[in-house]
Amino acid sequence: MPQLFHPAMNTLAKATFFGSIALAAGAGLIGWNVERSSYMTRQGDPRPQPVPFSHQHHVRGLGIDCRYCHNSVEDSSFAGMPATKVCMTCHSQIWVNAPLLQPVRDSWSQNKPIVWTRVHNLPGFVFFDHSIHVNKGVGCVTCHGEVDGMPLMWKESSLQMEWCLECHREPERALRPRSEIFNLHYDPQKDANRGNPTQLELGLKLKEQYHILPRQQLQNCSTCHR
Amino acid sequence: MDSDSANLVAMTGDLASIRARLAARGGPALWRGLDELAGDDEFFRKLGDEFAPGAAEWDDAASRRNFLKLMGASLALAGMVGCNDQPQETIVPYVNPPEQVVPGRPTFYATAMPFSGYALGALAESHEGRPTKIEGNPAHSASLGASNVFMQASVLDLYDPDRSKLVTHGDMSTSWGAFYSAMSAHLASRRKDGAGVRLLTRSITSPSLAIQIDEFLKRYPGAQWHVHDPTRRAGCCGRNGGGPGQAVYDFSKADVILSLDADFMFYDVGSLAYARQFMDGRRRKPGTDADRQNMNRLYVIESSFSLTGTMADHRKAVKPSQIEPIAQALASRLGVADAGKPSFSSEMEQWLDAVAADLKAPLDDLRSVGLKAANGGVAVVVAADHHSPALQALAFAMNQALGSIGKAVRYIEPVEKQGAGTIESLASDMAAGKVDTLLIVGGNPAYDAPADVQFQNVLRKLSNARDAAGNSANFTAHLASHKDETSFECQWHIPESHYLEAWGDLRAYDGTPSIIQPLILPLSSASRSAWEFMAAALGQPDQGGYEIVRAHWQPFWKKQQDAHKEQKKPEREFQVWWESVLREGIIVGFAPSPGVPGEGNALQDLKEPACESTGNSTAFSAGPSQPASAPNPDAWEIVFRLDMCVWDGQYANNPWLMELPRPFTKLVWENAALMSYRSAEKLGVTEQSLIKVAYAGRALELPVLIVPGQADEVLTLHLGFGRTQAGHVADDPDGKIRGYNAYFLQTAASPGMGIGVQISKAAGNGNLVMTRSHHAMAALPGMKVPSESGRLKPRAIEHPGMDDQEIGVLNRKLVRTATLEQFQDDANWVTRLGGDTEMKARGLSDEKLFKGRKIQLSLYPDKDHGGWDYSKGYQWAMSIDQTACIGCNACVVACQAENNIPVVGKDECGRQREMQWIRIDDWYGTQPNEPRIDGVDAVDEPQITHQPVPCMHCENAPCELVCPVGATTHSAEGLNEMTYNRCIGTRYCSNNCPYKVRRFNFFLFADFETPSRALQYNPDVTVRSRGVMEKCTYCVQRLNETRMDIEKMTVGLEDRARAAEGDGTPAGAAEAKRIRALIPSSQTDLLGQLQTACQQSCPTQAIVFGDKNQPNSPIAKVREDQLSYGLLEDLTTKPRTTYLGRLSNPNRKLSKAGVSA
Repeated sequence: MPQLFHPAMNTLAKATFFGSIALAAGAGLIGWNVERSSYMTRQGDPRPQPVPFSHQHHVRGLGIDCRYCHNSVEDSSFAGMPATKVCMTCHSQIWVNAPLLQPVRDSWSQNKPIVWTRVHNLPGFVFFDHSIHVNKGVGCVTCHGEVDGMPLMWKESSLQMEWCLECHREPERALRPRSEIFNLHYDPQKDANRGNPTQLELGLKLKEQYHILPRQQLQNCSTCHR
Repeated sequence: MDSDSANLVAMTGDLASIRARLAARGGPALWRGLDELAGDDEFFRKLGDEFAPGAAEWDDAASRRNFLKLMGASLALAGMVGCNDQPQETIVPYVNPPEQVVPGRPTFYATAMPFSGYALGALAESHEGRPTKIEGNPAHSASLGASNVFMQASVLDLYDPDRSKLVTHGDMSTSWGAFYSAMSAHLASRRKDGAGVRLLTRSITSPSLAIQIDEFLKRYPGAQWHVHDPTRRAGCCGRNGGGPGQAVYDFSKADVILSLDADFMFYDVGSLAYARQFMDGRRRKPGTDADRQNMNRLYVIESSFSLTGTMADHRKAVKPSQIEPIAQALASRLGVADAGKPSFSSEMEQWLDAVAADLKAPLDDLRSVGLKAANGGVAVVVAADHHSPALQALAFAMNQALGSIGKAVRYIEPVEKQGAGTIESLASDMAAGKVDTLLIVGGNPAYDAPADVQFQNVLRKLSNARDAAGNSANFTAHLASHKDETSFECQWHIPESHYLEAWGDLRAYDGTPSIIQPLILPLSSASRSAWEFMAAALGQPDQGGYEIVRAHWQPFWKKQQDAHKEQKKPEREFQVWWESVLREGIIVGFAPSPGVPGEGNALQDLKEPACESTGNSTAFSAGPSQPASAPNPDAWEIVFRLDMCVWDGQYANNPWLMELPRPFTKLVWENAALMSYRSAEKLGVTEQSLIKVAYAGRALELPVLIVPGQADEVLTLHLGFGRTQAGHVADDPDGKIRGYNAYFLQTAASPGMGIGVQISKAAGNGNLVMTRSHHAMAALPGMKVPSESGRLKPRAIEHPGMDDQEIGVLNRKLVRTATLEQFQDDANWVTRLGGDTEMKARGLSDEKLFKGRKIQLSLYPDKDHGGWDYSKGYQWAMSIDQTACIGCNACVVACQAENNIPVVGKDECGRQREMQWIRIDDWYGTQPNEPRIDGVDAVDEPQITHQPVPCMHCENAPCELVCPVGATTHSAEGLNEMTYNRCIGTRYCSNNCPYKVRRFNFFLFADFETPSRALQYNPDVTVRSRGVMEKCTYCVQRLNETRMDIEKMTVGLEDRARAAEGDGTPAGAAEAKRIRALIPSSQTDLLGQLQTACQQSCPTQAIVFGDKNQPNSPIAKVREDQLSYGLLEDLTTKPRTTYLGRLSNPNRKLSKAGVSA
C-alpha cells in the first residue's frame, strides 16, 4: 500500500498545530491590546464640541477655578456642567460678538441648552462619585490630567477598571492635602527637597488622616457596581 | 408546554386526606397553600427543583426560522461584544439652573397623594426634575412616613405611555380651547338656571374643589351634583353613614379591639396610621414594665381573609349576612338596648360571651396586669363600610356602651363634601330625559357603576341623542387620565393631570388638609386637573391650579391670624406661611369639628332612627334590620371587595400592581372566585374550574380559587379587573381582557355583598397563575423527602442521631409563633424551638471538638485565616418582626421602585420567573389555643403569619462559593454583593441558595424602549439586561451614599478642627475640641436617617435595619432580643437578615372554655 501522506506532511502537521495555537494566541493578544489601546478608550483624543471651549485659555490663561463651572464637584457624584447662565456671566460683557460664541448666545436667548459631547463616559453599571474623591484628597489632575493644557478636552486616563483599581489598591500613591485638590501643578517632590515627606510618606499619612477605607474594602464590588 | 405543569398547581388531595395529614403531623404544621398540604410526590418533586419545569428552558413558541435568525444574530454579536466602543453620550446642562438643585443629588418635595379621595402625605423624590420615587411624609398624620402599594406604584402611573395626551371630541383630536368654547356655548344655549346640567365626581375632600362645586351649583341653580365612588365602601370610618359622623380611631389606646368585617389595616383611608397605632399597642416594649405583660388583643369576625384578619388573636369566619346578627348579639351583651337578640349555636354563644366579657373588662385574663391599671383598659369596636350603615351604627352604640368614645375612637364631621346625589338617581334622570349636559370629573363610572344602574347604556344614549336638525342634542365630557370605558361613551375626553403634575389640595382621614404640590410640568400640555376643569366650567379656562388653590387658602390664613388675635400681618407674610405649608406638607389649625350628634347624647340619637349623613345612606333603626335568624345555611352569599392591588380598577394599567402577588392567594395578573375547600368539594369543583355565578339576574363565568379561612358557601369577588379600555398592561397579549369584571354582578342597593347567589359548574378551566408555591425554602415542613434523591437533605452539617426525615421536615422551623403566655413561661422559646441542631450551629459556629481534636465547623475561613473581620466598620443587618408584619406588600413595590426591578408578565410568572426581590411567604398554620367550633380545624380557620423574605446576606454565603466568575462576592461590611457586569448567567448561585431569593433575567425584562418609562428609573441603580442574576442588595446605593456623607462630614469637621488648632492658642484648642466633639453625634444622626426602601415603606415599622456594630443602635438591640432567630441557621450560613418570632395574645378564658384544639 502506498504511503498516503508525503513525509513533508509531518512538518505541515506540526506547523498547522503550533501555528494555529500561535495564531489564536496572537489574535487574542492583538484583541487584548486593541481593547486597551487608546483607539478603543479614546485616550488623548480631543473631541469636537459645539463651542470649542478651551480649558487652556480659561484655566491657565485666566486662572478660573475648576469649581466656578463644575460647582457640584464637592457635594455630588456629578461634578456639574456649567449652565449657559454661567458662561453668560462673563460673555454678556466680553466677546459679545464673537462668532465662536454664537451657540452660547443662542442658547441663552432661545432657552435651549447647549448639548456638549461627553468626554469621560463610564458604562451604566459603574457608579463614580466625584465628591468623595475630592473630599478625601484625590486631586482633579490625578484622573483628568493637566486640563489647563488642553485647548479641547480629551480623556487623559483610560477609565478602565484596572486603572481604577490601581488607585483603590494603593491610594497613598495619589493622595494630596485637601488644600491642593484643585491645584493642577502640585508636586510633593518639589517640597521634598525642603525636608517635606515624599509622595509615599505623605500619602500614608493622609490615608490615616482622611480615614481612607482599608484596601480590602475599597476593592469591594459594590464600591462602584450596584 | 402545558403551562399548568409549570404552575405547580396540584390540588390532588381531597379534604378528608388533607385533614388526615394535618392531624397525623401533630404539632403546628405550616404550609403556604393547600397544594403544599395536598400535593402528591410529583408536586413536591417539582417543588424541590431549583427552577420550575420549563423555567430554565426556552419553550416559548419560537419558530425554527426565528431560532435560526436569532442564532445567527447572537453568533455575529457574540464576537462583537468584547470590542464595541461605547456609544457617544452628551451632557445637557441647564440654561438657567434652578435654585437648590444639585445635579446628581435627589431633592424631596412634600406633596399629597389622593387615595380613595383622601390625602396620604408623601415625599416625592426628584432627580433633576424627574419624580422617581414616592415615600411617606413622616409629618403627615395619615402616612406617618410609611406608604402603601398604591403610593409606591403611583409614580409609574405618571409615566404610563397609555395615558391620553390629547383632548378628543368623538374620534377627532382637538384642543382645550375648542372644548372650552363648545362647553360654554352649550351652557349658554341652555336655560338660565341650568336645569339639566349634571356634574358627576368621585368623593370630594378637597376644600377648594368643594367651593368650586358650590359656586357651580350657585351659578346654575337647576344643576345637580352626583357622586359615585366605589372606594367609599372599602373602609371602616363610616363614609356611608350609620355613625354620628366619620369615625377616627386611635388603636394605640385600645387594649381589646373587635373588628366586624373591617380591614382597618389595609382598606381604610386611614389604614397606614391605623396599622402603626395597632402595632404600637402590640409590639413588645423591651426595657419597660409593660414588656412581656401587656399586648393588645384583636378579635376579627369576617367572611373572607383580610390583612386585619391575619393579625387576629381570635378570628371567626362567618357568612356576611351573619355579621350583623353577631354584632347585635354582642351589642345586647354589652348592654345596648334594642339591639336585638339573635340566637346561635351554643358554642358560638359561648364564644360571644367570652368576647363580650373581654370587651367589658379588657385583658382581664392576663396574669400580670402591668399597664392595665394605668388606663383602666379600653376596648373598641370597628365596623366595615361594605355592610349596611346599620352595622356602623351598632359599632357606634357598642363603643358608647364601652365608653371608648373619646379614648380609642372619636367621631368627626364628615371629611367629604356632603349633599351629592347618587349615581342611581343620575342614571334614572338620564333615562327619563331630564339631563342634557353631563360633566364627569374623574372616575370611570361606565366601568365601575353597579351593573343594575346600566350607566354605560344611558350614557351612550345621552351622548348619541340628536335633535330634530340632526345635531347633537346633549353635551357629555369626561376628565380622565386614560381614554377609558367612560371616555368612549362621552362626546369629549379631556386628559387628566397626574397628582405629580398639578396643584390641588386634599384632606386626610382625620380632616388634616394638605396641598398637592406638583413636581413636574404635565407630560402632555393638554392635560388639566379637576380644579382647572371646574374653573373652566365656571368660565375661567386659563386659570391655573396654583392660583386656584393658593387663592383658596389665603382667606383661611387670614381667619387664622384673626382668631389668634395677632396683629394683622401684611399680605407678604402669607407667602411665608404658604411656603412653610408646602415644605411641611400639612396645614395645621384646620381642626374638623366633632360629629353632628356630639359625643354626649349619641345614644339618644341612636334610638331615634336617624344617622343619615351621606348620599346613599339607609335609615337606621336600632332594631334588627335583617331577620335575626340565619337565612338558609346552604344558600351562597357573595362579597365584593376592591382588589388589593389594582383597587377599584384605577391601577389596572400599572404593571407593578398587576404583577404583585395578592396577599393569601398569591394570584397575579387577574382575579378569581374565592371559596373555601369544603364549598368547592360540595360543588364538585377544584381550583381553576370555571363556575357560573348567577346573581340578581346576571351571570358571570370565572375560575375558582380555594382559600383557607374562607367561610363556607361564601364567594369573594375582587373588583377592578375586566377592564376593556385600560391600556396595554390590562390587555392580554392575545387581546383578551384580563380578569373578570365583578362590577357586572354588583347591585346598587347592596354593593358590598349579596345573598341568593346561584352557583353552578361551567365547562372548562381558567388559567390562574399563583406564585404561592414558588421559591420554596429547601425542604418544606410537611414535605416528603424523596428517598431516591438526596437533593433535599441539608448537607452543610451532620446531625448525629437524627434521620433525614426529622432534619428536612420537622426541624426547619421557618416560622416560630407562640402565645404571650408561652413567652411569659419560657422567654427562650424561640431558641428552644430551633432545636438541638440549631443550638449547636449557633454555639459552635466556628469550632468544635471532634474526637478530641479541634476542627472548624464551617468551611469558610475565619478572620484569622483571611476571612472578613466583622468586628470593625459598619456591619449591616436587618431584622423583620413577624408580630408586626401585616403582609401588605408595600415593601415589595417599594423595592421594585427603588431598584429598577422589571415585570415579566403572567406567563413568565407561571414559569416561576417573577423578579420581585422580596417575596412574602404567607404561612398558614393553626391558631394557638383556638377552640374548635363545629368541627372546623386549621384548614378552615388557620392563622396566617407573613414572612417577607429578602436576601439573607449570609456571612457564610453558599451562593458565593459556586460562582465560576466571581460575580457574587462578599464585602467587608457583610453584604453579599452581586456584580451584574461579571455575571454570565450560570445560575449556580441561585441553585445553591437555600433561601431562594435570587432572581434571574431569563429575557430582556427591563424596558429600555419606552421613552417615558426610562424617566422613572433610579439613576443610582443599574438597569439589568438579559442573562443576569440579581437579588436584594440591602439598597447598597443608599448605604454608599450615607457612608460617603458621613465620611465627607467627618473629614470636613476634622479639617476645621485642625485649622483651629493651628494658631496654637488655648482658645483654638478649645474650639478644636468642640468641633471634634460634634463628629460622633453627627455620624449617629446620619446613620440613624439611613433606611432601606422596604424599611421606609413599612406601615408597621416591622423592618429594622442598621449597623449592628453600633452598640446602641436599634438593630444591635433587636438582634439580642429573645425572639430573634435566623432562617435555616442550622446550615451555619449566619444570615444577616434575622426574624423576630411571632407573638399572639389569645384569650385564656376563651381557650379554656372551648373545645380543645
